[in-house]
Amino acid sequence: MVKITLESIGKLSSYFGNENINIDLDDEASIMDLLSVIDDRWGAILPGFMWNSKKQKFRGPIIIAVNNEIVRDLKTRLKNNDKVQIIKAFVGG
Amino acid sequence: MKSKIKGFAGYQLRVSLEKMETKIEAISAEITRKFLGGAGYAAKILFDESKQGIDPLSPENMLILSTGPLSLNRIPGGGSLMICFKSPLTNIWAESRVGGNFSPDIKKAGFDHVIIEGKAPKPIYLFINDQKTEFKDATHLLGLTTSEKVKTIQNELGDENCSVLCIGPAGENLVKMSSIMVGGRAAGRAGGGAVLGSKNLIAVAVKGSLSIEVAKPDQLKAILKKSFADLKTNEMSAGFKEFGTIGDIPDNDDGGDWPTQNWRSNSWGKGADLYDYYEDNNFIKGYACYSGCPISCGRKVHVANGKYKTPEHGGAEYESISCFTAYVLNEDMDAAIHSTYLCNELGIDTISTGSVIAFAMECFEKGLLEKEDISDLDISWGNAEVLPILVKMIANRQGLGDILAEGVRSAADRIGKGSKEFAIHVKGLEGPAHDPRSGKALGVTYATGNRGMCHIHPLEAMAWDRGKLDWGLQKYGLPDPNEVDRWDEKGKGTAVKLLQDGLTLPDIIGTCKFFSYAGITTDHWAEMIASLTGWDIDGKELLQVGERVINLQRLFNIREGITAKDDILPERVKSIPEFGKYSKEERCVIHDFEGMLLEYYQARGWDPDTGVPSPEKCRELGLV
Repeated sequence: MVKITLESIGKLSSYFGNENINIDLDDEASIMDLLSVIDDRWGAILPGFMWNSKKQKFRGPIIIAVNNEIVRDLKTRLKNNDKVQIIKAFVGG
Repeated sequence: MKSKIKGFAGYQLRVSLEKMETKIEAISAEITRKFLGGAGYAAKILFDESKQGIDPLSPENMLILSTGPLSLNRIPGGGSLMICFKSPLTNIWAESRVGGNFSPDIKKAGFDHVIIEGKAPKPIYLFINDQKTEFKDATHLLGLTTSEKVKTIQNELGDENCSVLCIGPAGENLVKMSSIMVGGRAAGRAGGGAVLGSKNLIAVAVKGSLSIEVAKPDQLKAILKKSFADLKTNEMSAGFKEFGTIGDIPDNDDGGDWPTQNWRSNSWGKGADLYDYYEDNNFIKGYACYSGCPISCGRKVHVANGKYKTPEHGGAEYESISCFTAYVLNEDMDAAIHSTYLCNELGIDTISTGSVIAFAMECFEKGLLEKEDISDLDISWGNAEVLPILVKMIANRQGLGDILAEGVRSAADRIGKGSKEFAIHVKGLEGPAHDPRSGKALGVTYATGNRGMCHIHPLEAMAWDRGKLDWGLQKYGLPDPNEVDRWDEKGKGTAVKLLQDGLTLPDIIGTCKFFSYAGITTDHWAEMIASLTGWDIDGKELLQVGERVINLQRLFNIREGITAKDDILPERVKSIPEFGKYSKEERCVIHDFEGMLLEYYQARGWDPDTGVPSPEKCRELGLV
């Protein structure tokens, strides 16, 4: 079992109900597995501008970081006590 | 020739097309310290050297290609060129920025600025190479698309890496919203393409091998090392890299920051689906517009098959796609990608073009267009098929396209019948894809932007109000964005003054504004300039340069006839949206625009009735 903390701030945290949420994942779970859990638990309430239920991923411009390191590869494995941060960027031109 | 000012090439190239002569001039140390470069240095030259009231398409107009002290490949965002001129679209100050290697390459060729005057007796292009120049015949380039022109010139010069800036057929046809293209990127706004077209200057090619002397190289190296490290962990930097500017469409649609159907609404509800389609079908990969960019916000896109089949190209920018989807109620992303590709190939601004098409669709809906102008075209809302047709008609000035090619203000004058009511522009420049009804500070910047309703200098107002960014400006007095309500009007005018002073700086110092969003603050920029030049300069002095430049551009506009009566917002843009998520949201209404504007004038030290900078303010800024 891998225990991680899902962190979100500001408006994003209002959708998750808390800025810090502890989540248990299977051993060797990846970010993709975490996204699957997010879809199960919050997919129905996350707004369409930020969550793509069909693909089980965040829509732009939401960035995922693990322990303050930005992660692009969703197959990245998660470790015990990892902090996974969901951050909204601003990219409009 | 060695520069007398460290950190600068030290010279400007003056191009007299009438005589087909070029002259190398040392740049003024005093002007450079006060105005630095880019839109600042160019404003000083245009104000001092161009005559009041000239026709922007006459030989008397000047067009300046201007770099800043930071326009170097090794600087974050250093691939940034400013093109400044009096606009044929608005008849006032115009600046248009474009990314790419052209700007650092001008420096390598030995110049900080290229000042273009007069009109060549025949179509030509200019080749600049290590402070040597050559005029070349361009007759054979006429009518070619922008990418064809670039390839032809690079072949002729025997260098496929040579940077080329050129106009398309629209610029040759003096379309008032024509762009200047640089390596697939556009200096789109305000009609610079027509100014070059009027001068018979079809392209400028540049290459160079010279270097810039740095005053404190070790200090610069240390600052850059830290900046690049910080950029790697910055979420905004990652956002730009991961999603490009188009990535904001779903959020802006949801947040009421997405003008829809010629501004009848500020949301549509289709942004997420359109973005998903693009991601699945059009997106190929991200790319950097200049060598060394760590952000790489550019998107390589295509339309693989079908009636809108389009080759791989750099495109799908937020503004461009918004103007060819939400503005015109088009749900076909392939058609939008294809239309914006055509805009770039033909050399017209995607924002103004999408805007005038939206205006034409509303005219069509209301039965205001003459049969002789539209033939049997169906210009209904959402008709994707008519979009590329209208783009070509505008670029080639055919039928209705000839009317729209003059811009929405002139088109409304010509069409009449009440169409001015829904011609959305400020000072003649069509509005971009951000909506002040969902972040009131933007209303002030749209009204007071020196080039009109532009998407560059107002952007930070929305990013502060709704996006909650501060760019390190809180220490200089900017209110904490997290304590600001985007629906409020009070305090916005005062905040906009500082936002403009701070965020106009990238266009003066020669960097890409997105790096300011990614954590490089005014203080960081000042440190870089100090190490390059050896000057004792800090963030506070930089902000004063920003203020000085904004005031000088304002004085230029006042000289050209702009008054406080021109600092307005279209009524529709102040009113409750007619449909969409916010159609019952009363807070969208801008109730006291005049109050916000007065607050802004007072913060600026401008006359509250006339909007003219006071003599005291001009003295304080060294503009007298």
